[in-house]
Amino acid sequence: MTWTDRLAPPPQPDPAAREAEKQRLIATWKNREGIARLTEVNNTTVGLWYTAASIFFFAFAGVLALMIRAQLAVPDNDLMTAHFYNQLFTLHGTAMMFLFAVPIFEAVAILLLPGILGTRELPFPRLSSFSFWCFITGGVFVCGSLFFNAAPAAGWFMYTPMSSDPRLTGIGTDIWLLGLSFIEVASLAASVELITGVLKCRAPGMRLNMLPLYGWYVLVVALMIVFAFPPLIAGDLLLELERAFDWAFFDPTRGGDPLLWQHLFWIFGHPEVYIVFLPSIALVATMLPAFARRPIVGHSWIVLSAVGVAFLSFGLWVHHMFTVGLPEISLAFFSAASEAVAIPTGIQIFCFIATIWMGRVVRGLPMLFVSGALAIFVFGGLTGVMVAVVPFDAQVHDSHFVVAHLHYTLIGGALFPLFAGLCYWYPLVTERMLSDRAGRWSFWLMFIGFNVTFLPMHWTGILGMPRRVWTYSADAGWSTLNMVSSVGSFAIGAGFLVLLVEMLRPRRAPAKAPRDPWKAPGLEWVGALPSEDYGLRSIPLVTTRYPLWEQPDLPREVEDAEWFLADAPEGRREMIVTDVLDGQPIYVQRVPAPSWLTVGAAVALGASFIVATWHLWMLAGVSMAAFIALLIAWLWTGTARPPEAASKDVGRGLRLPVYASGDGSCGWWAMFITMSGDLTAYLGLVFAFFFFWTLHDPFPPAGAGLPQAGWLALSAVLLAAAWGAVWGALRVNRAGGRIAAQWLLVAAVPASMLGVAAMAQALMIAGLDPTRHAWDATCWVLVLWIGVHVGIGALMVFYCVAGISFGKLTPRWDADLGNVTLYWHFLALSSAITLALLGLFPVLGIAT
Amino acid sequence: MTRFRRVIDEGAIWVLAAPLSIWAAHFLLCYWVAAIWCAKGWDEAVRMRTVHAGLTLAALAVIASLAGLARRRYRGELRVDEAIEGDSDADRNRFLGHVALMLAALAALAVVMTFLPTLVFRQC
Repeated sequence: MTWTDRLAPPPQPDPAAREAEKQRLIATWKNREGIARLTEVNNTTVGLWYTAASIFFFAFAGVLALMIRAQLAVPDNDLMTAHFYNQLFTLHGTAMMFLFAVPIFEAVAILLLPGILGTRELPFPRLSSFSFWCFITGGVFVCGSLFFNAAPAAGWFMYTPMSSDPRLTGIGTDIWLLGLSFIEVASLAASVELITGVLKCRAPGMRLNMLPLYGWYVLVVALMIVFAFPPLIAGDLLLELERAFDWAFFDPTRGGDPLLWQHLFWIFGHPEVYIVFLPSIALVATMLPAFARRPIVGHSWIVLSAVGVAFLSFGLWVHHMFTVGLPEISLAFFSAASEAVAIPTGIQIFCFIATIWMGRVVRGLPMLFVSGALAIFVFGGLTGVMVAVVPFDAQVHDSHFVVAHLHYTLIGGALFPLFAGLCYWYPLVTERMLSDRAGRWSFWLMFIGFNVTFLPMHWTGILGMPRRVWTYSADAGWSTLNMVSSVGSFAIGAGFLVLLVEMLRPRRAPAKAPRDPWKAPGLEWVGALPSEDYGLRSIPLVTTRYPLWEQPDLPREVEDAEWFLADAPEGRREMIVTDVLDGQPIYVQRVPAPSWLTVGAAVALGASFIVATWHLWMLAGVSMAAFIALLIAWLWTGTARPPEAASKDVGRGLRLPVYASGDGSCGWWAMFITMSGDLTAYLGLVFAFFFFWTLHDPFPPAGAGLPQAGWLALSAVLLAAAWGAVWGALRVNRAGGRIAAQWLLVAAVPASMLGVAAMAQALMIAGLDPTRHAWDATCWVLVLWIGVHVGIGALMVFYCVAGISFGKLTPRWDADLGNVTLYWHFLALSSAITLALLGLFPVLGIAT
Repeated sequence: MTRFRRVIDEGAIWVLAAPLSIWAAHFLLCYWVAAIWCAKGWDEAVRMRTVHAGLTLAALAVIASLAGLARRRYRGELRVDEAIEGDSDADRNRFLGHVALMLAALAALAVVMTFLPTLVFRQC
């Protein structure tokens, strides 16, 4: 007998009571009005803003592309200066990647995921809002720099040593490093939200084998972000330390190496390509059954290929570095992995083709864009197999052939499916249908324009035209092809404009889209139109993979409030948290209401990054302090408050707790995911350490100072004691010893701080100077990392001490302390690795 | 590990991630061995190809045992068109076993592809 068998039958219809319930739901979930609307955290509102902002940045980056094409239209053109041209292509790539391709995934997921999973919200709505405001602040900052002739100009991958020398590249590089680091924070925040959402916040009963493919893809891609972005953050940290404080990481005269940057950048950069591509494939996989009128063929094969691509894509990064002079055997490994990734990628495409083949396909605008996407992407995939071959790549490296290849994969694999998705879900969001005629015009303009633009670039590339050149001579023989490309690019722009105008134009006629206009099987279409801010009237039990096809009575049951959480008697926004495997309800999570705190926190954090660009350290410190204060206020008022009652009835006789701590709670999962990303960034620094070890013989170099063993040993003892004290506090508090727990927590702070001080002392006594040699700089950055984390850990500890004092954290309601202990476990691990590298490694390294 | 029984034993979540994690470990070790052997000139002491062959055999053995686990414990089958969308614990297990088994096959293929270059290149 499972939990579903114990459910009570639906309640007897009682129109008055039902209307009262509905009014309470409306009042609880109602969007804020006026200026306070900016504080809204509801996923549909934030998701829509996020989508609109990403599309705005896409349009901006698109205009830059048109300017690039205008400059390249004719030979010996002097329409713009070389420096301005450099800013254009750098910002075009940067904005398309960081301000459009990744954010649009998060935007669409925040908007659609709760609906597709049959819930009302994501687990951390304020985090979505925070992520959005970080994104918009950072995006405006980075893009705005162009208007002051101060935009980054060293290419979107910001290669050292050009970017590491402040005399060669000006403030643009700092804007890139700090502005984008900040946006990466936004991406990571959204990923934590989405992973927890897919794992823990599904409609009751939605087992893993019923999880829609969109959910699988979001899970996989968000996990990829968690492991791919941190190495870049580590790289950004090293590069900014070199630029601002002259630490020696990339300077060969001081033991550094420019290639370190390329490794760290592309360990991020290649998974990034799939982070951009997979979400769009997810949209195709979600739309296709509606148009093929049948379930997707090979559901589990698509899950396999999503997971497969996620892993394999981390083994491709060196294929961007085939010409830098690595050993041939190393290149061959990456070439092999680059070919291997074509297998799972191909499986997905074959599943789609098989679905179309075996279904009875009906026409529709989204399907048109999907067909265009498949055609373009397959072409780009094939040139991808070509450039994965080392000798071929050596010929076309850094030529327009690569430009053509990457645009075929990204526009075919990511952009066209996204436009298909915009057409497909437009009625869900706006309750209107897009005009078929305008959509077709837009599609054909973009499809033809795209091929006219990028197909000739294969030839210009083979004929030897390098990327990123400002202009070229008429003798080169590239003139006609370039002119053709430029003409085509404006057709793409026109096509996009048609779509944009059709989406935004005001309409006089009232909304008229029917519910589920595509006869789709997905849960996002279950609700009635016009929709209310609360989303679903009741949260249904899902027992099938295609609920609207296989549970035909579901829309009525949901609307008649026959299922869970049909009421909000306490006036709190609530959602059901479920089990990872089977979607069995575990507890009711109260999600926080809108607040200025999140907006303020995002702006303050943004300000600290922005002023740091000008090395205004005082001001950056003040902004950071403001951010921390706002963050603490946000957490204190909005999260893990002790509930008024231990459990509540959610409907159908199901009683669920309203609080969870430890690994049952969403917060614990979020901390675990965040710290996995944090540990990955730290491992990026460890990678730098070992990279220098392979570079130098011996490493540490002869005559270098070695961290003093006695101080390191003392540091190890103190940090271990601090970790033990926090862990002990969790257990003591749970056993009821609140005062003892507070003392243990308080003791952990000086112990850990002295531990870091001892670590720093070990380096100082040995005379390690980070500006002298890469060895010294690497040792210092490892200590710096631990120091910053101990500082954050101390804040968390004080938060818990205060929580115990004010009754927010009690022996029974101890989620905060559970999460903080988890943080300290990760801190203990990275401290142990740091101490081993500083203390043990030099001894062993000299022995070899 | 009774606390994490749900995801470690009852569900095949970790078996889903394991085969390609082995591929990743194998890939990184092969790359590091090549990088270190080439940078430090250790080929005279132990031949690089021997190390790579050993790593590959070990990786394939672990992947094979994972595939066996997916088959036995979770009833995974290597069939092409299997929907497995029933509403029961057994169906959920069979679905995850199926995916895990196919991932093991993909991982084995990818490990072999990673090894192939060492048959071609004799030096750095």
